Amino acid sequence: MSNFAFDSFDQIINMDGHGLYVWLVFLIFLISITTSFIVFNSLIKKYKSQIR
Amino acid sequence: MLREIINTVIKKFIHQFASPKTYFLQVKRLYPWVFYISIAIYVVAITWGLLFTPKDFVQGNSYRIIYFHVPASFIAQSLYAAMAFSSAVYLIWKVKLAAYLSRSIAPVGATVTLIALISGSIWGIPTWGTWWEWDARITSTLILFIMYLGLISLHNSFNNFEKADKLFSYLAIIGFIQIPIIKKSVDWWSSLHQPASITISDKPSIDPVMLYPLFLSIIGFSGLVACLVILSSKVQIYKREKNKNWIKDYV
Repeated sequence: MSNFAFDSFDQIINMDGHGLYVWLVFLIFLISITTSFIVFNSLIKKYKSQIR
Repeated sequence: MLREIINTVIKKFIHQFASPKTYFLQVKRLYPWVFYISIAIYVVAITWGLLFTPKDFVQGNSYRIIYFHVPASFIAQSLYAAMAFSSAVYLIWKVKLAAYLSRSIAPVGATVTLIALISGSIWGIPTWGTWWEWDARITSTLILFIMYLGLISLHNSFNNFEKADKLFSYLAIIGFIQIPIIKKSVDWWSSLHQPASITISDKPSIDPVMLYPLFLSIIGFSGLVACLVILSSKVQIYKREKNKNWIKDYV
């Protein structure tokens, strides 16, 4: 594994001006995947309750 | 003779393992393992890629989007290939579960393709100076997304599942032609998009320090996507097998 690439928390957030793009993609990724899990689980609950 | 043996083996395999009930009970056992291992691998990959790899000489820190964009693009195409394969199995051997799986892959594939498109567009702003360009790779990926949505709409427009499955399968197989086009688009046409960094035949053009977390992110994300396909297939099974005794007993 390489060394830690940043010297401070500000650098992690800012990433030399590219932080907005990187963290925005991270956020969109996280939201899309989490939402998909929630939607499928709620559909399973819905169909399960219909069978009951 | 050989053909008969192969057919017997396939039929035996299909009867034993490809019934919705067996599949349902097997994935129930498998799901938590795949889910937690994939989450662990992906968290390690993302932490490694975002915080511990050095900055790229040309693209600076914006290259770190690779740990989201490449797994999403790769899996978006792989899912389509899996859907086309599953559709072929359904049409050739009339395996009901294969039709369920094809239909289950479509919404997951659409979501992953959308992630690939959005992450690529955002990456384009600092590297190309534009978020969208009608170039071969981007346009063919957009067509892949539209294809997924079209297949879902087509299936939803029928009340008869059997008719819907048949049409869905034929169209999914025909649409498979776009997968090699997407793969080769950067070689066949002049494109803003860079050529593939990882190929089977050549040495990767990406430094190993950046490559290892990328491989891990592809593995971790594949596991998470597999979990989404499992959940989506459970939805299809609950929806279509609701009148069967085994599912009533299970619920």
